Amino acid sequence: MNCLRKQWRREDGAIALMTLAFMLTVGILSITFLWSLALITGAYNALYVANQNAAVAAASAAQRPAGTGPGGVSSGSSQLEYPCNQATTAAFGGMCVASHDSPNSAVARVSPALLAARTVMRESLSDRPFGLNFAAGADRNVAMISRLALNLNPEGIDNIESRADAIELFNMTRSAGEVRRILRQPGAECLMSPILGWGYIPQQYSGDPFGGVFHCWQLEENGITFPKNYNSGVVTRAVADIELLPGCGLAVCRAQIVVSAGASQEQIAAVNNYSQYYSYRP
Amino acid sequence: MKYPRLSALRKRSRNEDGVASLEMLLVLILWLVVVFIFLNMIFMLGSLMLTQASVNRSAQQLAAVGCIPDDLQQNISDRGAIGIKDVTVRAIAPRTTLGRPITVWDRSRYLNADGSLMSSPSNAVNILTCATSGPTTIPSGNFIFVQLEYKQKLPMLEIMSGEMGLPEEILIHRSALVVSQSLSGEG
Repeated sequence: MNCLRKQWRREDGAIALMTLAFMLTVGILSITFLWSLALITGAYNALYVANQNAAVAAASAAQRPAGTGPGGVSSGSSQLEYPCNQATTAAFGGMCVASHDSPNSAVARVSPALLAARTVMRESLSDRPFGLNFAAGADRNVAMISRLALNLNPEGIDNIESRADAIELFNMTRSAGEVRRILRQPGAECLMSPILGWGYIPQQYSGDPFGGVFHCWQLEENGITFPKNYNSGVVTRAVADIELLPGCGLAVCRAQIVVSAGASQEQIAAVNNYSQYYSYRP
Repeated sequence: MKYPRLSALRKRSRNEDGVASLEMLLVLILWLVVVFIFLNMIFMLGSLMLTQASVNRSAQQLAAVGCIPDDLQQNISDRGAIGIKDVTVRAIAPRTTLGRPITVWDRSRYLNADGSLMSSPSNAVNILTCATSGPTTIPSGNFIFVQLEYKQKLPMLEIMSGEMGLPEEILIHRSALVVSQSLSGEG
């Protein structure tokens, strides 16, 4: 540096210093850009796999093996076991959405599927990869989300996402062919779209004086497709707010990433199954 | 005919060119060091992403069959092309009472302080390879914890290990938690 200071008095030194400053500036900008790119790629990957595992776990936990009902009573069919009749859930026709508002509240214990999804998500992010944190607390920046408003307000707002921890459980109690036939009726929505998600809003909720409303939405926008013959499934979505640069509180330094995953479980009944693991009585 | 003033100018020019060249060399060396460190960081991040995806995929596979597929470690080694070696996959399932809801998972009961899986945790069942145990040994609905352990090689550490006494490789653990999907059998 002494040498550089001496040269500063001369033109050559000034040129060298300017070159140094230029290279440092370009270098810092390049490194910052690449760091942000690597960080958001890593965070997306970590959140994606965590959410995917959460979906599979929720589907596994929600599945009640065929031949068993609550408490081991035979029901004769394989279906999702979910608490559609609980106060915190809403069931519309063949679809059930389960949710809860707080990861710490007693409401969180309503659904085994929710618990499984939350537990797996928390464990997957327990090492805080790329700054992601699902544990409860003020610094938590990952949440499972659900588009509950879509189902509750079919007339207008259709894409409001709830930031409360929630997953969506689907149980298509009607066959896919029957659903398509219903939706081909005049006035039905989603005529041109494959049926990937749908619900029937009963009259008392729809606000329509002439009856209930079929409502559907496309999960393709999130890259989710279920097998054609599925009749039950779980969708999980997770959102994360991350800082691209540590300590930078500006909005330009922050990014939000959202990932989605779907899982379905269609398994044949087995002897000596352990449905008790799924049967939870609050 | 001699031109003393011109000769002095030539000497001065040569000296200044040398100083400028040295300065540029210094800047370039610093720059290369920064780039090298940064590339190593990117290298590490890429490797972590690949292995995290691998362990999650493996965990889902394990949740379906209830045992560790025999070629799982080899598959992960093949996929993890970025400087990983000595891959080991281990999995445990916590012992639960039949009928108990699957709400409890406390990693501190099964992991050592350094994040590695305990060799034989008293309150969990070690999941064996399929060749040893056969499939579906874990009750459906039970948690399964899968841990991937491997050594990560980094070019920077290999260069600096001899001079600064740093280790040549880093021991890394990546883990995933899944819910067993097997519908028969008992662990």
